[in-house]
Amino acid sequence: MPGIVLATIFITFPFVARELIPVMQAAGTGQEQAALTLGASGFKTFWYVTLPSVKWGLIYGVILCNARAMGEYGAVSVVSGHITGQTDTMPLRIDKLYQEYNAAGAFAIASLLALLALVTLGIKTWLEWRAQKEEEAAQRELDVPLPGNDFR
Amino acid sequence: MSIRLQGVSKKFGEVAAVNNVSFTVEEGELVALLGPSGGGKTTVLRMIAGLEMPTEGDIFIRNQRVNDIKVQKRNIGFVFQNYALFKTMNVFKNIAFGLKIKKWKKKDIEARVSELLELLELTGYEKRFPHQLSGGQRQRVAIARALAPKPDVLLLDEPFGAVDAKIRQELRQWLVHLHHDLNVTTIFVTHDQEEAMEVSDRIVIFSKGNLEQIGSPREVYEQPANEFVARFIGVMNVIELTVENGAARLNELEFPSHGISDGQKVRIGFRPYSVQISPQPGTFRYQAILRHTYFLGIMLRLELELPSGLLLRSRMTKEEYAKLGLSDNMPVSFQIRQYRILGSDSGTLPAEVSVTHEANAGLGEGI
Repeated sequence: MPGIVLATIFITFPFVARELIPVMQAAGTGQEQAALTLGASGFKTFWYVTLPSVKWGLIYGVILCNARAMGEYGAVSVVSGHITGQTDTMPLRIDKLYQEYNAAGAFAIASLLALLALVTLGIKTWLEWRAQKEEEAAQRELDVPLPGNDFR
Repeated sequence: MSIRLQGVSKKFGEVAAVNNVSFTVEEGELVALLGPSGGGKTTVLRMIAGLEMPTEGDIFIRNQRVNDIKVQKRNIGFVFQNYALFKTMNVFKNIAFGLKIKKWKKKDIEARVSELLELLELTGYEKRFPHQLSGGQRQRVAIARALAPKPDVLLLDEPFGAVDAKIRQELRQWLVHLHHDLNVTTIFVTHDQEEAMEVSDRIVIFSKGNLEQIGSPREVYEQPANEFVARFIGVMNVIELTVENGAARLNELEFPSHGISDGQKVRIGFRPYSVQISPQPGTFRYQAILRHTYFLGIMLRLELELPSGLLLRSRMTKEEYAKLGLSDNMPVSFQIRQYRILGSDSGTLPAEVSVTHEANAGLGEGI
């Protein structure tokens, strides 16, 4: 079991990193330095400043990660030991059932996996929709006339 | 709070960014760190803040050595060149951040933030996010955020670098008023000498990591400590002359040799206001043609062309110009009332002012 987790982490974490590194590089360290000058500790700076600014990147990373973890076969197959009910993942079980000529069982689990993939897609779409709505709400506030100001 | 730097140096690898710098900023002063880019002024500011550690030397705030005190504990307000506003927080939350960290009560935070919004003319903008603000507004949010926790010292890195010329002018005046109202010790970095002259009580001039001079705007303008400062502050005519037969000469211009031996070169500088013009060709020693007049508001800049083709700049008020009845392409005569030896081949010459006639006309506007 820890082997499966390790192997999955090994395969999937690069997806999160790939999402986050460009976002963080683009943001630079200015905001973090500003937080430090305002008295924030390292952890508070990370929690209030760094994490919120990479929120969407992190969520996308986790979704990609999840999709990959559900479907992963190769690495997990090597380390799992194939003990039914204990160290099985869905793709491994599908393979096992198929090898045992249990086509009905294999297809049932495959359908379930496909359904989970659709759910993941649904979550991703919903998150995108929410992010967009947040942006629009912020934009709407701009249309409200504000008190005049000489130097813009 | 007074700030004192003592023999402070900063090296990035082998490169010395700041070289043995010592100066003091008094309580409530507004001081500019001025110099060309790469002069080390931003590094000095960041060392005072605690964002950089000095390689050598000590920094004191309120007579307390702060070298080992972390940036969080120094109680400074820092305004970054690109503002570095928290882009995921609205204006209110940006300004309230430092107070939240210091665990102020919610009611006190609200009172303090609205006080600052009013002071910085940002009322009504509290729900906007940084990307929905103009440059000048972001600037003011950054200042409000830095001021919110009532810092001992306000540090600003090129505060007006990223806004356009007209707004910069307004922001300068506004910074002076703000400083006057709050009386918080303020240090700002700029590469714009006009900005430093206009805004600050005292100017610290840097070049290549060295402190060249510290003084009031008037002092650095009238008594520059060396050639660099003389050239950097204000407009100056600079000419290089060669000493021949006991006098320094360049074409028709002639100055005393000041003890420099024949064949050596000497650089002399004089301010445009030191060039006195007469419309009658015989009045003064040198003859020239008034080539062009530039109108700079109340002051005029005049370009003189000598018979040898050498161009010199003079300036005067509109009234003087009208009184003398000058016009472009008119033959005039002029004298240099006051000049300064900037440097020479022998290198040992101290910079000094020589007054030929009446005293200095004074520091006018427009530099």
